[in-house]
Amino acid sequence: MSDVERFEAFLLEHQDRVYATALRLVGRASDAEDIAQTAFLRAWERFDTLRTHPAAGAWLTTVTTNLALNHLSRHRSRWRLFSEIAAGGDRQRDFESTIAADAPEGDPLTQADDAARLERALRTLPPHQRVPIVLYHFDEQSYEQIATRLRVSVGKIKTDIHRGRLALRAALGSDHES
Amino acid sequence: MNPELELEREIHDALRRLPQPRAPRSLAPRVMHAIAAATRPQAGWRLWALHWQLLGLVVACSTAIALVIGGSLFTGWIGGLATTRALVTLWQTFLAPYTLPLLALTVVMCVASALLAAALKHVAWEGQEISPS
Repeated sequence: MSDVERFEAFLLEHQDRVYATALRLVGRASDAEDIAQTAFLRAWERFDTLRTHPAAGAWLTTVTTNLALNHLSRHRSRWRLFSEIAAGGDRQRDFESTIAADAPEGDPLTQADDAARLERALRTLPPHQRVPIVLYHFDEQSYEQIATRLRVSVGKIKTDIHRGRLALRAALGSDHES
Repeated sequence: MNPELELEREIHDALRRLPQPRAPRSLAPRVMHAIAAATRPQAGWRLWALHWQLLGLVVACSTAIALVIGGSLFTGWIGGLATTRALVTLWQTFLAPYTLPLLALTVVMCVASALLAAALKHVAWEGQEISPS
């Protein structure tokens, strides 16, 4: 079996996890695919050591996360520049009310519907809420680790995660409200 | 129970129950194609057999020498033409004095454009960089 064939097997084994990590962080399928491709190309450069490493999957996840965060940082700078030029203010939408408004009232939701709505709601969260939620609930990082990684305060992380959770709960429907 | 803890547990359970998104079918072919392109053997003079490398070197040097000799012969011949002498005079009188300043201005404008492009790129396109492991 050649190196390329071994790498293809490695790729097929890990592609779902890598893509899911990227998609949940950046929220867009096309960007997630680009990030996943970059992550695997970096894995190819280090395949000599990775192919037998027990933590290859974790390494891939870390690289994918870093690439996704870099991607979001670049876009945040770009859109901050143009939004400051154009509007000169905070134009954040109220995502909680938007998502809640989209939820059909009185509609019997199947488990698959719940999952689809939750996934969609997660993707439509603003990045400053979505990224900490993904890092906390999927990557199982602490508030302090997330704050360090994103270079913001722990208080901001807690606030953003809390607001994101409220938005996701609203997307799941009134059945879950306490 | 603490409402915040209850919310955290509810969302955590809901998120962990989500099915993992599947990678698109296009991902694997894209990656393998990129790897194939990167590992394709590069053609070039250094990969030729030794005798072909030497022959190529001789041909390249001969061509360069022929161009230099031919160019000087051609310049000498064309300098003898009356029309060319008139054009040369016009050039020396009206255009030659401004050649150097125009060249300097062009270089300065190119450098300024490159610096402006780099500054715009830094402000608009690049944010905080996190070093990948």
